[in-house]
Amino acid sequence: MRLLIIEDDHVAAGYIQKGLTEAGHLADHAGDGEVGLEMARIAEYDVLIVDRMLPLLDGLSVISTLREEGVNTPVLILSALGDVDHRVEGLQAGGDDYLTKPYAFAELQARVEALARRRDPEAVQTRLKVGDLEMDLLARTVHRAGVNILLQPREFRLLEYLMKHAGQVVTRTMLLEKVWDYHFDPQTNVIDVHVSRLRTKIDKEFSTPLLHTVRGAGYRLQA
Amino acid sequence: MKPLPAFLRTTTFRITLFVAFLFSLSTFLLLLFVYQSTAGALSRQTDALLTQEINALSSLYRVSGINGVNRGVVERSAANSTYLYLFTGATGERVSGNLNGLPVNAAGQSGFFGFRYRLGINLDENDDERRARAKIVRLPNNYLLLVAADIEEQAQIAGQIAQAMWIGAILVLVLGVASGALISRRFANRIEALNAVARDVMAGDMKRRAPRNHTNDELDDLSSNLNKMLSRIESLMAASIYAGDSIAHDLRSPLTRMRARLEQAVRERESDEEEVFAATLRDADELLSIFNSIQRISRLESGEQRSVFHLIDPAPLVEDIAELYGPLCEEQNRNFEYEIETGLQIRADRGLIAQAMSNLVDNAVKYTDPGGGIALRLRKCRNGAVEISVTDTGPGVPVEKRHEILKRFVRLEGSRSRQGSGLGLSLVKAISEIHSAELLIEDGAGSHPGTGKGLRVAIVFPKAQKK
Repeated sequence: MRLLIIEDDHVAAGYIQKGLTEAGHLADHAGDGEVGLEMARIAEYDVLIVDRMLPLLDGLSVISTLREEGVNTPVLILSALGDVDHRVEGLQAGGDDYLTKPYAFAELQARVEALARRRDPEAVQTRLKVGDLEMDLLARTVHRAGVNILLQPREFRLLEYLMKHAGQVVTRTMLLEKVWDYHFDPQTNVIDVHVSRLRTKIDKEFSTPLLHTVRGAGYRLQA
Repeated sequence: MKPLPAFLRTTTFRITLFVAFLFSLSTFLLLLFVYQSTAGALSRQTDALLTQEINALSSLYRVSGINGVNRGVVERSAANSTYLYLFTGATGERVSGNLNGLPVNAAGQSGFFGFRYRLGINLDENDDERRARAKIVRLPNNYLLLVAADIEEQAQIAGQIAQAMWIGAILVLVLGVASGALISRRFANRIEALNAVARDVMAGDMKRRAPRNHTNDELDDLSSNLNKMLSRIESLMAASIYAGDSIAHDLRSPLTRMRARLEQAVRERESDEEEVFAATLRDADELLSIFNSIQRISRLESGEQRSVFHLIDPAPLVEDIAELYGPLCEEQNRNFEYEIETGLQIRADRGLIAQAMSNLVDNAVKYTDPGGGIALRLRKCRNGAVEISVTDTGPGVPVEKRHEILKRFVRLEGSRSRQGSGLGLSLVKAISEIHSAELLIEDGAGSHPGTGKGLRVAIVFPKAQKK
C-alpha cells in the first residue's frame, strides 16, 4: 500500500513511517499542511494519515479541500483532541476514521489497513466467506462447513465486522467503536469475553481455528 | 500634591459631602421661608397701618383743607401715638408733627421708604439711631405729609432670624461634613480590613478570613461571602494539591515498575525480552489511560464540552451495557441481573451515559467477590425522575467516606492494590453534573451470607422537559 503521513512532529512521523515500511507499505511524509495537500493531489495514495494540527494549513482544511476536489482517498485523522465533538468535526470534514493521540502503533496500523480495504469498490455484499465460514447478510445466518451456527445479534455484528476485515488485525478499540459504537476504553476486558464466546461458537467444533489473537494488538480472522 | 487621607477619598465621603451640601441648602431655603413669612408679614402689616393712617389724615384735606390736616397732625403728635408725623409747607419748612425735619433721604420720595432717626428729637444726641418706615403723601401747593412707624424692634428680630438662618446653614454644613468624615472613616476602616485580608491571601496566607461583626449589613454580607469564596478556593487548592500528589503517586507506580523491569532486562541478558517489552507496553498504556481520564474529567468539569443533549429513551442504552457486561460477569462468576423500565425519556448524550454506566459496572465487578451479585436497573422514580443504578454485593463504602470517593484518584484503604486509577467515579460524577443529574451513593441490598453489605450507585436524571 502507498501511504502519506502528513504530520509536523518529525519524530512521531518517523516512527510511523518506519513501522509502516516494516509492515510492507510504502509511506511518504509531509511536514506541513500545504506540502501534504500538494502531495496528496499529485500522487495516488491508498490512505492518508493526517494530523489535525498542522503548520500552514490545518489538517481538517487539507481534508475538506481534497474532498471538494473530488479526491476520495480514505483519511485517518490523528489528533490530540479526543472529545466526541472533535471526532464529529473530523468526520464531518471528510475524515474516515479518527485516532486520538497518544495511540499504540498497532492501533494505527490496524486502522490504516482497515481503511485501505474500504477503498475496494464496495459492491453491496450479501455473502461473506472466510475459509469454510460463510455469512449470509440477508438471511442473517452463519454456516461453517455446512453446519448452522446460531449467533446473538451482537455476535453476528461482531463476526460480520471481523469477516469484512478478514486477514487484518482488528483492535479491541476498533471493535468497541465499530460494533458497539462506544468511544471510550472500559477498564476491564469486556471485548475479550465477547470475542472468546464467538470463538467458542465458530472454532470449537472445528479442527482449524479461524479467529486468532494477535498479542499486543487485537484479533484477526483468517483461514 | 499630598494625597488626601484614605477616608477622604472614599465614595462614602463624597456622598456625605454632597448630602451635607444639599442639606444645608435646604435648611437655608427653609429658614428663608420662615424669614419671609415672619419678618415679611410684620413689615407688610406696618405698611398697611401706615397707609391707613396717612389716608385718614389726607382725607382731612378734602374736608377742611390744609388747616384740617395741620390740626390733625398736631393732635395726633400730641397724643404721643405710636406713629411719627411731619407736615411741611410749600417751601419744605416744618409746619407740624413730632419729627423735627424731613429725613435726609426723603427728598423726591413718595410712597414708602425707610430712614433712620434719633428718639427724643434732639433732646439727647447720644440716643441710638433707630430705624423707621415712612409713607409720604404730597398734598396740593407742595404741602407734604409724612407718617412713619418705628420698626427698630421688628428689624432687630428680622436680623436675628437672618443671622440664625446663616448660622443654621453653616452649622448643618459643618456637621454634615464632619459626620461624613466620621462615617467614611469607619467605612474606610472596614474596607481596609477587607483589603488587608485580600492582600494577605494574595501573599499566600490562605487561612486568613475577613472580620465579621454579624450585623448582617452589606459589608458583613460581603465579608461572609468573601469568606465562603476563600474557603472554596482553599478546598479547591487542597483538592488540586491532593490530585497532584495522587497523580505523582499513580504515575510513579507504573513508571517504577517499568524502570525496574527494564533495568532487570539489561542486567540479565537472557531474560525473556518479549515478555519485558509487552509488560512495559502495558504499563505505558496504563499511564496513557490515566492521562486520558484526567483530560476527559477536566474537559467535562470545565463545561467545555456542551454538546446538545437530545431527548432519548435510555432503555436501549442500558440494555446495550447489560449485554456488553453480562458475559464478563458470568465469566468471572458474578451474578448479573438487569431490570429495564421502558418508555422513559432523559435528556442526555448517549456516549457519556454509556461511559458512566460502564464505569459503574466496571467498579462493581472489581469490588465484588466471585459469587457475589451485580444489578443494573433503569426505573422511573415517583417524582418523574429517571434513575439508572448499579448495585453490588461488595464491601460497600462507609457513609463518611462516600463524599471522599468522588474525588479524583481517591481509592479507599485496601483498594489501592486493585487495578484502576481511582478516576472512574470522578468521571461518573462529572458526567452526572453536566446532565444536571444527581449522583447517589447508598448502601446496597444488604448483607447476604458470604457477601458484603454492598453499594448502590445511582444517577438520577431530572424529569425531562420538552423543549
